[in-house]
Amino acid sequence: MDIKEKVLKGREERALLINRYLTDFSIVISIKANIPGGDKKNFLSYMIINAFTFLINDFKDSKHYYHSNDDGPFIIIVCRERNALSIKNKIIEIEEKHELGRLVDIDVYDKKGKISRNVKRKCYLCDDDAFNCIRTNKHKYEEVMKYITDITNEYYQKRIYDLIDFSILAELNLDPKFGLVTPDSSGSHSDMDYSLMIEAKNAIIPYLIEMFFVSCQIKDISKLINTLQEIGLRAETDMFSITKGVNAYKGLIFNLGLMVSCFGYKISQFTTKNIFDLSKDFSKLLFKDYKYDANTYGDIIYRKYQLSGVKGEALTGFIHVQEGLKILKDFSWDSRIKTLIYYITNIEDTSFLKRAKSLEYYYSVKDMFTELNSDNIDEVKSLNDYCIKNHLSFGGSADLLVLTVFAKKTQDFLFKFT
Amino acid sequence: MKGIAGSKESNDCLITIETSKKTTIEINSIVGQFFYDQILKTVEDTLKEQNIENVSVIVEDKGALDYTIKSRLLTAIERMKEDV
Repeated sequence: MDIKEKVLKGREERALLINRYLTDFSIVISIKANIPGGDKKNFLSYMIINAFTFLINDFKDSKHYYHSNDDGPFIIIVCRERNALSIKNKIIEIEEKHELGRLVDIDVYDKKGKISRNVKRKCYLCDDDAFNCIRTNKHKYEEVMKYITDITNEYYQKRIYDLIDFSILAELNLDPKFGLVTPDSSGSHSDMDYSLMIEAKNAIIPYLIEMFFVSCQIKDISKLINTLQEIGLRAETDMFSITKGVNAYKGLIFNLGLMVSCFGYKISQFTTKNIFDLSKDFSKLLFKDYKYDANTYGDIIYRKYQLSGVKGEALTGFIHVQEGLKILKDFSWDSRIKTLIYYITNIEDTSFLKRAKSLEYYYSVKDMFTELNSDNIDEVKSLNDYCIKNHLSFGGSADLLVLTVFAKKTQDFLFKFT
Repeated sequence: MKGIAGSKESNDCLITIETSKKTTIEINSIVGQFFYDQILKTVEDTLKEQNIENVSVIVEDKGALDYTIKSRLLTAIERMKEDV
């Protein structure tokens, strides 16, 4: 069977499947990308329909199912609501207003069949009726695909930028912060200040976005990891040249890079794995043959104390971040400071150990944080002063706060119409 | 004997073919006002090619391309032949 036949077979199967759902439910909604040609299972199809998963939570007592065949991936939402026409009108509005609305077919079916739109859809490239252009082969396949690729990338580019920027700033702007750099203080860092951190942030974001996009495209994890490492190295080089050798965000390039990549990997296919499961899979491959024999502080600490720091955290699928997400109820000062304190007391923060110098002192400082009442601002300020006086800082914990904000934001992203 | 193939999804068509006393072709297309003749020719040519006569064919077209119409018709013919 050639690919065109396979696509047609898939399309017929989808229609039959929808009919089967209609025997049990009053309304079926199908979300599918509108992409020309034979390669309907392209990663773009997934990126397009996954931008509409917010619809899953929009209907009362609904269920949803993920399907895929040679006609491409599609999401089915079934519900027992009555008014199919009002649902259709709402969906037409989404198709008209959403930036990717033109690239998606969201069809509504009731017992009588598909509810058609009265307004004919316009072509992607010209003002003509879409069906006329398709039938007359008015535009080249490559031209149409370029349009689809461009607006999908533009959509995600903007959102991923905002997600990353928001996450880093949510940590950086938190103040007081126990010796970490804040807008008003360099804390325990004589070589850094707020504007340097901002410059470093701006330097690494394009690389993190690049990681997102390659993770959408490359589905072979080993191959993907090699590419990500190469991007990571370029990010480090660029950051160090902007900070003149100061390590502002090296750990974060790894941590957040991993999580951003897992998000891209997830959003460009159907998988029940969340970004933490994927982080674990990625890290296991990444550190498969890792001997902890490098001359870096992290590896020296591992050999000395068996504290695996950031690598260990990634290998567990960021188990502490999963806990931290429960503490970070919102993005308020209170939630953020509580989450940060949770990390300082619970994770093995090797950049903190480096400053604490001895394991004994390291644990005694952790005890101070366990006893800290964060609702008492005076206590927080006084511990902050203590940390600065003793040149303490908590880079690993700060990174995990960034990750927690990012993870929380991606959850919202998947369920909101933005 | 009767055969049905295709769907009423976008860019597809639903074709129903049934044995009859004479050949009739009915086309309901969302692009009918521009492409009726083309669709009719595709159906006629395919029937001729397959030596099929005395059938009634109903095409409910939702913007299918000619190769889709032909492929759906061929499947419908096969299903008609299997229908006893």
